[in-house]
Parts: sequence; structure tokens; C-alpha cells
Amino acid sequence: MEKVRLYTKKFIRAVAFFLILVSLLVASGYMLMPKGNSGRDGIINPNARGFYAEPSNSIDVVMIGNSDAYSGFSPLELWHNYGITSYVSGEGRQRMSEAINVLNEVLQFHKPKLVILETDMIFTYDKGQYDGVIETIDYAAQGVLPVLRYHDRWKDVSVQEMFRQPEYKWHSYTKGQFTSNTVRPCDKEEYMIKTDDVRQISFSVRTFLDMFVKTCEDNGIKVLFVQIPSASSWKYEKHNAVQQYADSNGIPFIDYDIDRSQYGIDWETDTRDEGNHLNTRGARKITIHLGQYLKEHYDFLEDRRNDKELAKKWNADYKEYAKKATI
Amino acid sequence: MTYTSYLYFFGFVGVVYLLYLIVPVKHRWLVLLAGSYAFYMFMNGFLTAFLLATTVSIYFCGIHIGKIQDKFNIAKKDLSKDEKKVLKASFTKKKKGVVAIAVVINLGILLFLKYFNFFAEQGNLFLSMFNLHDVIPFIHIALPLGISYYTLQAIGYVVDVYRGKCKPETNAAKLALFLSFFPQMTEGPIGRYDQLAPQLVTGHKYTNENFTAGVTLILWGFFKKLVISDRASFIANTVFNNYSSYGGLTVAVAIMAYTLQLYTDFSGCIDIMTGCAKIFGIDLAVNFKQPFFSKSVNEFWRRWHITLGSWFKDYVFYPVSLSAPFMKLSKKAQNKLNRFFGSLIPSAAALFVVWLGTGLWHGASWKYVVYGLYYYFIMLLGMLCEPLFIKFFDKTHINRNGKYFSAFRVFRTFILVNIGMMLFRVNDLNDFGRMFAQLFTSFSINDITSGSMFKLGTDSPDFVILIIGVIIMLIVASIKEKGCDLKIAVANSRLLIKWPVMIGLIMSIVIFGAYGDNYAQVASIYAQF
Repeated sequence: MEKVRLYTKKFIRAVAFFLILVSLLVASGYMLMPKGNSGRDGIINPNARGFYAEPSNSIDVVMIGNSDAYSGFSPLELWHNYGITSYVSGEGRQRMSEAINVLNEVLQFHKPKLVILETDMIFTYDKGQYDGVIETIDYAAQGVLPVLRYHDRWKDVSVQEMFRQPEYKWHSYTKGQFTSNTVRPCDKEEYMIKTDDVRQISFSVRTFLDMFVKTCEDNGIKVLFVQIPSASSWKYEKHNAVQQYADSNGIPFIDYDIDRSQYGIDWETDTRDEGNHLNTRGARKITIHLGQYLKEHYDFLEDRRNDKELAKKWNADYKEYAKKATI
Repeated sequence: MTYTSYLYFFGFVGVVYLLYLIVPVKHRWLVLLAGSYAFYMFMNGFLTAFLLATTVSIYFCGIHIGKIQDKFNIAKKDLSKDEKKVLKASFTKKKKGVVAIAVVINLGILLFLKYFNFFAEQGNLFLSMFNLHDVIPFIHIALPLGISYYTLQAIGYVVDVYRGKCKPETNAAKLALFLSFFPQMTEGPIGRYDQLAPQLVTGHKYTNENFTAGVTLILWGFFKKLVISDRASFIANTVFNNYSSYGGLTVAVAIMAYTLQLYTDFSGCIDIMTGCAKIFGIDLAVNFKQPFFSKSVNEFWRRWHITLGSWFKDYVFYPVSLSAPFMKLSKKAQNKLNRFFGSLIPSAAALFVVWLGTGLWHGASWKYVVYGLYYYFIMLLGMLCEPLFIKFFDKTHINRNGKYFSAFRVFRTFILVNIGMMLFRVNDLNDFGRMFAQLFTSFSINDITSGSMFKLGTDSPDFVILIIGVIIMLIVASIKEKGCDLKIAVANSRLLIKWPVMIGLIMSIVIFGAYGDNYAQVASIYAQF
């Protein structure tokens, strides 16, 4: 009896300790988190988080991925040509575990009907067996405890800001796209050489990929895998791995790197950095094809150009975008 | 898998600890062995073969020395004193032969893997004078994790068995655990068999004291590493990598920043590892004892990397200075010179071997040789001048151990150690010369007044945190210097003290730690040895 009482006491103490600790971590996370969504507010990758300031539930399609995504997909072309509202939430060298964080952030503000995962990130920075795991855990932990990501904002944050309610006002007129009119042709040899070899998807990435797909399913969101052309990172072995995963999970997969020419992609004119990323011309070509595919396969995606209030804002953004996207 | 990663603590140490508590006490050492080898194989892959080779070699050498000793014990019965003496000499020779085999094998592996390319480079340089170029090829093989540490531990074990300090281990698995215990594989401390092995193979029950003391020490280690060391590294790296662009005062600050970085990095990591072992109920050897409170360089080395210093003292200095040639040298010096030089010369010669070894142990480079010899010459100078010092203090009536003079000695030692650290950090000896000269040729107070000093890879708030961190560290060091074991004191304190200390440490690390997107990750310095 004495022993039971002792263990109960120890257990209660341990729980109390962790409750206090977690409360402090959560509270400090809240205090240090940027209270706005612009770069000046201190948010990481603001362009990927412009959707915070979009009218609630106004985004129907979200593309999540790395730099290939924000370079190679144009939400405003999709709007202009098909009336579909979308946002590209891409971050340089994004990992799968960070993609979950971004998806969760999207779900706080919008109820997208379709999430497009740009698949290059599945192989981004997956160094060997354990490096991938460590990075994955780091990003996952940052998702659970934002203080781990924003801890060094203690240098900039004022006491007032610490306790202020967040106000997300900054909106990205390109809807997350990085527009570049630069043309630096790619002279690499053909890299998509057909093979039956399959690149392994690491355990940690697969775990988070499963979680990503499940989160979408649980929220009634359809998932589509898309590979934006990239001469410096994509290979047929990677295509095979994603295709296998997509087939076994019933997820459609469009690889724009397979037979690029049928989509009009020309490495002489459509890349800003010798084949690593697309420029605005390349992004337009991909988006126009993708929009057609979405229209044909996802009839629940409405043409929202009839929504006058929404259309006014999106058309204004398109105008700005069109001024910049000159090639 | 670095020991500052979540994977190490939650995925590895946490799992091993849970298994350790689940398995019956008698078999708990097997969990440590399995965990240690799993960790080593995970980190090293096929290089684990080198650790196994060392283990097997010292196992058989230990057993063989034991057998020779047993034979001697039987044979010496019923012998006269003189006969015993003759017999002992013959058996000692045999035992020495076995020790020599163990040393040759293990030191051979270490020398080959760590120093082959260095010696090949020197050899090629020499041969190039005869127009022979690139004669000796370089080898490209990764260094097994912790080889510099476990090799010394292995040799120490064989010598201890030879000296009769401990009995040979008959269970190879237990010996394997002694060499591979995971917390000490990356940076030591270098354990002694008689102190560490019994703790490893005895199963320890969970105690609140061990767990809390261990966790507190781990947190303190993280504080030193992430809040102080990694922050100081930005200052040191910025200046050392481009020293010609900075004034003498800034260079001096960068040297001190590097000393701070090295100390907090190494001692912080040792604290993390010692804390890890402590939660299992195992006390690793003490490796640091407030080294910057030292009044002499000699004392500094008794407080800094203690296990390396004591290893060289016990397994190099004594055997060398008590060897027949050195004893002869001592006698000759006593007869031809005087008593002072009679004892000084053999000690100086033995110390030369020790410091050359200490320097080379740190790495295969001339700067490490000079690093070791730098301390050697300071100590030698101290020994040579000691009679003069005694006379001087006698005549001037200055109390050497008085408050003010002690403070001066601490400061002097700090300066000398900083010069040593500078040698340790520079890319090569030419850089050392130029940087050292810069300390005096372009010294200007403008470095402070212009504010440029606070922008050395950091910003002003980082600088402030660094200073606060150092002050906290000094307070803790002062308490420890008075003999208080703080981790145990925290573990046994009331909740009102224990919890704020632990939670305060965690929050300081999380908020003020130099990690994340805005800070470059800094690899641990001593893990590279």
C-alpha cells in the first residue's frame, strides 16, 4: 500500500512537471511567434504563408512543395484561364515533415478541396538512413512546438508584441509563386532515361508522406502528386518510386518530366537557371496543362470568376502579376 | 546521430534506458553492451571491426598475462628469496612481451589510421629533395569513432593487468562493454578498468537521485554547448578565418572566444555524456575541474582533460622515467651535476615524450606537435626557474599564495593557456606567427568604440547572452570549487529549487540556444579526435 502511494505520488509529480514545462514551452512559443505573416514580422518563408491573409476558405487548391513548386506553378494563370483559386506554398528545400506543418497551417485558414504535392521534396535532403530521420524529427518538433522555430525572435520582439493577437495582413499578389523572367538555357543531356530501377523512399519520409495523405483524407481533401520539370534533381528512378507509392495509395500522379515536349517545355527558353527551376514561361505552360487536367478530373472545383467580390481581388492581383510575368 | 539530436536522446538513450529498467538487474549490463554496439555500428558500420579487433587483442593479452602470473605464483612456492627474484624477472619479461604485443597491435592500428597520411606527407617531402615525388601513397579510410579514446583505454587495461592492479577479465563480452560503453565513445572520458568496469557490469536500480542528477548534468552540458559554445564559435570563426582584416584587440577577443568555445564545447559534451551515464547509475571519470581557476600551467593540465593527462602520467611518464636508461641518466646527472639537475633531467626527458605524445594525440599535424611542446617548454622553464623563484619570494617576502598574487597567477595562466588555444585553432603555424604579431602591431581601442567588435558573426544581443552565460558559468564553477557537487545537490533539493533549476535550464536552452535556421550547426571539436 505504501509502495502504491509512493509510486502514485511520483507519477503525479512527473505529470505536473511535464505540464508546467509544456505550458511554458507553448506560452513562450505564442509570445515569440510572429504576429503577422510578412517577412518584416519575422515569419519564416513569408511567400509560402501569404494564404494567411487570403479571405477565409477562399482557396480551393493548394500546391505544397519545394522551390520547384513555387517556380513552376502559377496560381494566377490557373485563375485567369480556369477561374480556380489556388495558392502555391513552396519553401526552398522543403522536407516532407515540414510539408505536414504547412498543410496544417493551410487547414487553419482554408478548406481546400484539392492538395497538390510537388514530389521532388520526397527526395530532398534525404541523406542516408539517419540524416533524413534527424531532419525529419527537427521539422516535426517545430510543428508541435513553434518556439523551436521562432526561439531567436527574443532579440526583436517587444513586450507589447508578445501578448498581441496575431493579425495577418500581408498578401502575396503572386499567390506564392516566384516569378522570374530570366532565361538561362539548360544544356544538360537527357536525364529521364527509362529504367525499371526504383529509388528508395526513406523510412522517415514515407512515414510523413503517409501522414500527409491521411491528414488530407481525414479532412475530405483529394490529393494529387505532380512533378514539375527539373533537370538537376529529377531522375527516372525517382519517378518510379513515386509512381509505385501513388499506385498503391490510389493517388493520381502527373510527372511533367516524362515527355516534357508534349507540354511544350523547352529547356532552351523555359528555365531561369539552367534547368534547375522553371521561369514564368515554363510555369505558365505547366499551369495551363494542369488546369485543363483539373477541369477534366475534379468537377467539384468551381469556376469562381462569377463571385464578383472575390474576382475583383484576384483580377487585380492577376494584373499585377501580368505586369511582372513578361515572357 | 549527434548527441545533441532528438534521435540520440529520445530514439536511442531513451529506448536503451527503458530496456535497462525492464531487464532483470543481473542482466542489465547486456542491455548496455547491446546498446553500445548498436550505437557504434549505426555510426561506423564496418569500421566496428577495428573496435572488435582491439577488444579481442586485449582480451587474449589480458588472459595470457593472467596465466603467466598464475604459473609464477605456483612456481615460486618453496623457492628461496634469491630464486624467487630470478624467477620473477623471467616471468616479468614474459608478461612485458605480452604487453608489448598488445601495445604494438593497438597503437599500430591507431598510428596507421590516424597518422599514416601525416607521415607519408613528411616522407614524400623528404624524398622530394632527391627528386622522388609522391613515392608514398596516401590512404583514404575514415577514422573509427572514438579510436583515440578507446585505444588508450585498451592499453591502460593491459598495463593494469600486467601491474596486478586488476585481474584479467575472463568474460570477453564484459571487456567489450568496457571499451564500447556508448556515452564515452565520442569524446571520452578515458576510463580506467578498475573504476569503470565494475560499475558497468553491476546492474543498477532506478534511483531518483541518479536520474535527476543525470538529467540536470545533461541540461547543464546542453546549456554550455548550445548557449555559450556555439555562440562563441561565430566570433572565433569570423576572426580566425580572416584575421588580417581585424585589429589586435579584436584578435585578442577572438582568441578568448575560441578558448571559451573549446572549453564549453568539450566540457559541455562531457557533461552531457556523464549525465547520460549517471541516469544508468554509472559515474564516469571526472574530466574537468574548473581549469580556469588554475594558478599555473601545470595545474591547468591537472584540471583540463584530466583523464588524458593522468593516462599519460601513469602509462607514459612513470614507465619512461622509471625505465633503466632513464634511471642511469638520473644517476649520471646526479654525479656529474648536482641533485637538482639529477632529478630534473630524467623528468624533463620523460616529460618531453609525454607532451610530444599529448600533442600528437590531438591530431596528425605539426601545429599539434608544437601545441604539446609549447606546454612542455613552459613547464620546463618553470621547473628550471623554481630555485630562483624560491629565492626571489624569500627575499621580497611576497606571499606566493596570497590573494592578490594568486589572482595574478590565475590571470597569467589564463593568458598562457589562450596562446596555447590559439595554436590549437590556427590553420597552420604561419598563421599563428602572423596572428600573434598582429596582437601587438595593430592593437587599438577603436575596435571597441567603433562597435565593430560586437558584430563578429553575432549581434549585440548575442554578445550579451554570451556574457551572461559566462557569468552563470563562473558562479557555478565557484560553487563547485568549494567542493559542492551541484548535480547531486539539485537532485536532493526540494521541489521549489529542483524544478525551477531544471525548467529554467530547459527554457534557457530552448530560447537562447544557438540552433535553428539562423545559426549554423557547430560540430563538436573533440569528437574529431
